[in-house]
Amino acid sequence: MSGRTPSAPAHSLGKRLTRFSLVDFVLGVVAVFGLIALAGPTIVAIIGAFGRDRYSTFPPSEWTLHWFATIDPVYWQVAGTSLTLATLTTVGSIVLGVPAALALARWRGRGRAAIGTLVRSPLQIPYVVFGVAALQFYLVLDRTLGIEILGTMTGLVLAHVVIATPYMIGAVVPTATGLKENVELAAYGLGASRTRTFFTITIPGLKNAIVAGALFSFLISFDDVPVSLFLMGAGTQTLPVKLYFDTQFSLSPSLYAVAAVITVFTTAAVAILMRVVGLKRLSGR
Amino acid sequence: MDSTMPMDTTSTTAASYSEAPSKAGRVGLHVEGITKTFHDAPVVRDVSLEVHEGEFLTLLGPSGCGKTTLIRMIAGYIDPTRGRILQHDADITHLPPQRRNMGMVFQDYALFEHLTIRENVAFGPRIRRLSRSASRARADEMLELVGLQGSAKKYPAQLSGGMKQRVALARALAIRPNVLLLDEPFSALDAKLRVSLRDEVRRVQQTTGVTTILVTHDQQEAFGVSDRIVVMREGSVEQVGTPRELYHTPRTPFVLNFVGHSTRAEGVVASQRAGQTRLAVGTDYITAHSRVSFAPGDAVIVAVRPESARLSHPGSEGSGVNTYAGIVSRTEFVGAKEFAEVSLPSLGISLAAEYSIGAGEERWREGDAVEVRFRPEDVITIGLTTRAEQPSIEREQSSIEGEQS
Repeated sequence: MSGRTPSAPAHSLGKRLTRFSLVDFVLGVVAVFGLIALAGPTIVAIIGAFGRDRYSTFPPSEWTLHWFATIDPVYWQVAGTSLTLATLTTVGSIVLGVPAALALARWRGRGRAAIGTLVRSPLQIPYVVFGVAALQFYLVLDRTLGIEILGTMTGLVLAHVVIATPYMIGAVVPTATGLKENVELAAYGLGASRTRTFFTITIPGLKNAIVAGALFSFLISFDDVPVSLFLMGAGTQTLPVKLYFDTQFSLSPSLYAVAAVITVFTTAAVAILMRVVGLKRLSGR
Repeated sequence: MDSTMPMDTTSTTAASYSEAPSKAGRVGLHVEGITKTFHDAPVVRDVSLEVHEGEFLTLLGPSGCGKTTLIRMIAGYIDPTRGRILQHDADITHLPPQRRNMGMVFQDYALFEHLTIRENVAFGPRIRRLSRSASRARADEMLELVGLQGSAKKYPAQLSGGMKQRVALARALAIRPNVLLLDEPFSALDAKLRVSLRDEVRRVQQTTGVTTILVTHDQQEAFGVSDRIVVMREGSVEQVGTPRELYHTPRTPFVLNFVGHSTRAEGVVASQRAGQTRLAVGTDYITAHSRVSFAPGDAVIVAVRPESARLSHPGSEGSGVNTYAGIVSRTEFVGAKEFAEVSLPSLGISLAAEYSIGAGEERWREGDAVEVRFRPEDVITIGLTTRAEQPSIEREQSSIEGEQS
């Protein structure tokens, strides 16, 4: 047998099964550390929510559900606000982002790259900066045109749509680029109008990408702090912002309880969604 | 199979197309002076065609010759720059594709991936307001026609390339189109599948009687299925004819080169009498039957197909017209046939000959002296527009002188 040294050419099957090199080991260690770094804080927080001690020692000496029971009732209200906001933002980003993505994918004109950059520009701006800018803009609108949207759901939705739509576009453009023109031509030839073709052929073809983009949009809106901070009003406080404020005062385990609930909720939502979309994919393959 | 099925689906389909035999030969589609220019570059130049009802017409040519652009203008996906398209005397030039009632089959199948096979095929009928059950029945009928009735509930991704193309065909036919259009439908398939699928398309076409236009660059494919072929080059039509006509009487050098093999030479017309043209080629003469009248001095391309050349031992047959002495320079055995390349010094050409041999027989070897003959009616002549300078008399004189010295 010729090759036991790393540089010797190995038989293709044999290499996979028998050789576990140093490189593989190092990569494995890095991967494990990465996982711990990413998931660790969340897991610690969730475990902390079950601990008895007020100042949350880790690991907890006693287990309880007390902190879940004593979650400030206001949280359920702000959760509703955040969910509504995220949903409206998602709808907005679909309505704006899907046609934009199609246009970017198909347009052969001169300014294509420039428009693409413009549309993605919100991604370049720090959200805090955008928050302040939006605040200023709403004040100007109020003073010059009498349009009062600062502190309203409308104001929040508009701003969130701006930051979320680039993600929708980014998710849809690759799939839109891959859509074959002939499929739409075939539909026309069979008698379908352009409108009907758009809704029955093109959009379904983009379904997976739109769902992915919608997921991004929803999470970005739901998790947002920097923009919502400047634009919320009395009745429109969002969940992450309230959580942020409350941690300034005390690190009570009830906050960990809130965090735990949010984490479980979003993870479950994503998992269910993937299941639903994934199922369609399975039957299509 | 279900023994209670009384109907022969094939004949039902044929009957429902209602193409009475008397309609054959009638012109279904007129293309008049169609030109298409993209950014100052003409892609289709003043093309005029007549497509007969129920015929299988092929647009044949190399890439870039405009055949795809032309078929897309017929389908309505591209607007012509100039010219008209008429269907049964109705001007459809600017009619949108939705209203032309033409079914198109694309090279990349263009199936609706998120719908089942049956839903794909039923798409057209549904648009035309057929009820769900009627659409379903029509879809099933078409799927049976292409032999895919068992795959009705599958999705396109589960099918092979050949099956997908058959679905595309069924889908196009489901709307009972006036014209079936096929844009290089077999290019994405492997060679064997290409042949079996084109035979299937021809079979379906003959069963349903639908007028069909096929676009391809593959000469053999065109010859295998077409009633008539339109040979195109650089946006213009070179020649229109049946496969036989194109093979035996090509009208331009391009068609001659594109269709089949031949040995070509340039000759000058020496004389023409009673349908026989005598052409000076090299230092010798070739006699041809020509439909076209030439004048002495005309430059002409002379060509002979390999299978028209007969080889024999020198002196074994009497002298006659178009007989030349030569030496075999190369032979190639290809199974059913053998090819030989024979150099003919008097004509100044190397002639390709093809003949069949029995098992165990070996006809010719390199270096053999051989006599080559071909009949005047097997000589192809294509006139070139320029006239040659040297009149024929000088040539005759010099050959006489050559013999004497």
